[in-house]
Amino acid sequence: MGTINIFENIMKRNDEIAENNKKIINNALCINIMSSPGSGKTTLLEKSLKVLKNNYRIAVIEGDVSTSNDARRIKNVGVRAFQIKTENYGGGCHLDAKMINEELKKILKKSKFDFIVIENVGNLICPADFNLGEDKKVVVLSVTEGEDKPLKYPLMFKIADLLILNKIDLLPYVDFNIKSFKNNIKKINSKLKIIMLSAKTGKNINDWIEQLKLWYIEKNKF
Amino acid sequence: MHEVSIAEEIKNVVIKKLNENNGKKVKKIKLLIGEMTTIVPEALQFALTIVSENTPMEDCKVKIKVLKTKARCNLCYKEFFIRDNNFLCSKCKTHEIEIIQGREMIIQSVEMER
Repeated sequence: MGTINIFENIMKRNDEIAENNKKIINNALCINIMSSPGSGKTTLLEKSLKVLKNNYRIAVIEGDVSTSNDARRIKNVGVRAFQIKTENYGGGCHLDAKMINEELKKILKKSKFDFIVIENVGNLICPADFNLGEDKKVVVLSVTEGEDKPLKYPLMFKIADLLILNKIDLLPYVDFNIKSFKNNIKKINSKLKIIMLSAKTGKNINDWIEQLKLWYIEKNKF
Repeated sequence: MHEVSIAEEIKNVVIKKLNENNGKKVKKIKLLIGEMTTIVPEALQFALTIVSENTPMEDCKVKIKVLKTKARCNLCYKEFFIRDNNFLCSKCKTHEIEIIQGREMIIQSVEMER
């Protein structure tokens, strides 16, 4: 019998691979978009990448438990898209650094990109614990989900660099109180930037596109 | 929901340590899990039982210590625990705080039979 103290971080392996991903990603700007299912991540990407693709080289990595529907939707707007089905990795509820690493090696073998956009599995919980090597974490919340979600899933909103409040065209029809929503965010992450938009109607979508360009410039200014 | 993948990772590390130390069987593992992770301790316990089946970890005891979320104020340096997701200094009420505990996922120790 013997006890050994190891004090090892369980996420060590994931974090090491995430660091390696950062190296592979190099000068491209990599964003990890997270939200619950149906908040409008894919619609947001369809609408914004359609504009951005005219000036930038973009690759999208789609994460879903099953189907290639989302990758197909992105390809339909003329952007390169790659689907990870987590059912091939034991049915995971999130993407981890290793899955992204395998995909990046394939994607970056032949082509170079300015933007690498990762659309995580729809889930406000698990993806929050896994670093992928991204530059920015973006969380999307839609007004139909309710203003209390930041309080129910605080970690996701704590770690995010940007919050997109989507489906604002539905505000007249739902009980979503913008003021208490902002108060909830302030409690958890007072510095979190919020962009309120409608991916469907296109309202304020330019703010999001400009943010992406700004991040790209910031990363590549030297 | 992702406790199974976390459990798999724990198993990989523990079995590696067991082999490195010429151990035969894992008797007990101690884990430190921060409150500000998305791990549910009961679910992790259950997931570990499942992934340990037919391995030297089978039937080992798992002790999980939950570490409460703790922060330090960057202005008045007060250290305090975060309650009800209120990420503001309990003394000077500013948001200029730093999380100093609560994000851990650590295998603290492994007890083994040699």
